[in-house]
Amino acid sequence: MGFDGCRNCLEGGPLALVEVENLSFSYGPGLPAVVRNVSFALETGTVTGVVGESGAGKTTLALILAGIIPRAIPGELHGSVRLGGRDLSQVPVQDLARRVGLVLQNPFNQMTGIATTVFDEVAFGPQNLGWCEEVIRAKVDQALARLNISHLRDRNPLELSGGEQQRVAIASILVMEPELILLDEPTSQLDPVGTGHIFDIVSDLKAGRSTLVIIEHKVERLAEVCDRILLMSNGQLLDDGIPSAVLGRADIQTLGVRRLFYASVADVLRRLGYAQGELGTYSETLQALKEAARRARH
Amino acid sequence: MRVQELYVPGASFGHRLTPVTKLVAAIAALSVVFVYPWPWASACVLAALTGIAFAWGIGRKMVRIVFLGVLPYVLMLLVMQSLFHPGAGRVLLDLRWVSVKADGLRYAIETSLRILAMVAVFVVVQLVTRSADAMVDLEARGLSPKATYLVVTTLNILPSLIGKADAILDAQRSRGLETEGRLLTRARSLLSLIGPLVVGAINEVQERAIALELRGFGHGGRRTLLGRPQAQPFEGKLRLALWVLTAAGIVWRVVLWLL
Repeated sequence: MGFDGCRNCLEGGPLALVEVENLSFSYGPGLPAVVRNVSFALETGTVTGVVGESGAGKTTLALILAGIIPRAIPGELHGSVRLGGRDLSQVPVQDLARRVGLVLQNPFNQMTGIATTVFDEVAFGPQNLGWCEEVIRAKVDQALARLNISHLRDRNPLELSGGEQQRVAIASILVMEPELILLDEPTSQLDPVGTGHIFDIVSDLKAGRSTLVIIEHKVERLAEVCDRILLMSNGQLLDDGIPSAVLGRADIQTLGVRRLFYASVADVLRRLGYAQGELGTYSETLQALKEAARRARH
Repeated sequence: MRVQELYVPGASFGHRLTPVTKLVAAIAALSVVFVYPWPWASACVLAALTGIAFAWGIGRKMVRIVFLGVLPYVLMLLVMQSLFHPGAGRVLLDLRWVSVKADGLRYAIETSLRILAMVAVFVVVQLVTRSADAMVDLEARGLSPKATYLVVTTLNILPSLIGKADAILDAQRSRGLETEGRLLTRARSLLSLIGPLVVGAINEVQERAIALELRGFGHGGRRTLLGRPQAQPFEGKLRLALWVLTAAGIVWRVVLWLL
């Protein structure tokens, strides 16, 4: 599953922003590998979903892509991660925040704990990067508007609801305009409405040609926004393909991931003779379902 | 809602002072409590702080946190030290198996007053100081961002722990643990609180360290400071006087020790 970004570039294909090759990681000598021999590439402007059972190595992979492992969390790392053609371990710490942004699962722990307003919270990153005051104010206001949280500007971030805090956490990362945005289970603590808001934001970022990686369990939502899905199990990359192919796998439930509902519906339609061949997408399945209903009525 | 900061908005004299002046005042008050060799200095500081808190409009909240919040632990300390203080002193009350000794009671009262005064100092400063202002003010005076963050989060530890302890106690209560009533019952509930509180705090610190790194806190360059609090003209002299008070206490203590 090797990848040659330069070859792609020469052949006029999409430019790889991230290239991961033969990546393995364990949290210490003698401990089992949490990520095992993983290789893939992410093209600029694409949205990639990562699915797998708990303990599959998804969060560890995100921490490696964010440069936190092995800088802040030590362990044994083998293989290479290249960001924009440059080895991630060679990217200086001061550049990392501008290049990769990671939104953690628990937005509360992503807060600085010292900011008393949402504005201060979102401004914390740009302040660290030493941007001038006018630019910080303008960028923070832009980020708040983009996340539709301008009305929360003067509220204490620690007193907001989970969904609002998650949006503040995303704004805090977006404001630094990273090339790669990683979202680690951003909706795990949200209700359906809050989940909808987060996926609306993802769609908006996708329209803006941002490169995103989302670790998530809500497969229908992932299938809507992702260009491709990485399926992980026990630290290994088991599958890498378009959402309907990966999330529609007949064996996916045995790997701790819920199967796409419409893939199951397609199976039933095929079994009853209302459809033939592959029904890869939601719209194809819906079309076959309508046809089946029409035929049943007649 | 999880409490992370105690700050109460206001426009009192205490609110208008810059955070650095308030920190110097806190250091001076703590030096009176711990360095000055007066047995009742803690009581004086506690009384003065209570009066100041009411004058600044934060009295009720201060009393609730300092006296009601810390009182159960202080009472436990009083009981333990009065009954089990080592040494053979004058016995005030003989209960056959155990006895209340004058030395033990005196030690317990002094220690309890010190704890109450120390907590009061932190709480009063917190109630009139925004963390963000403290961070900006300290950094503007040359302290490194990491050291500043450490100081400010240390000041925030108390409200943060209060918030978490409430959440853990609610969870324990929902599983049938008695947390109200007799002293023994409360002491037992304390045991089931400490484990989750410490483990939770360690996890949170680890995740927050990652989050700070992701937001360029390890950048190493100069941070941009937004909205530095303006100092009043007399604050320089006030800080000098407070430093003199602190230094005098230390010198006095050293001299007493040498003599």
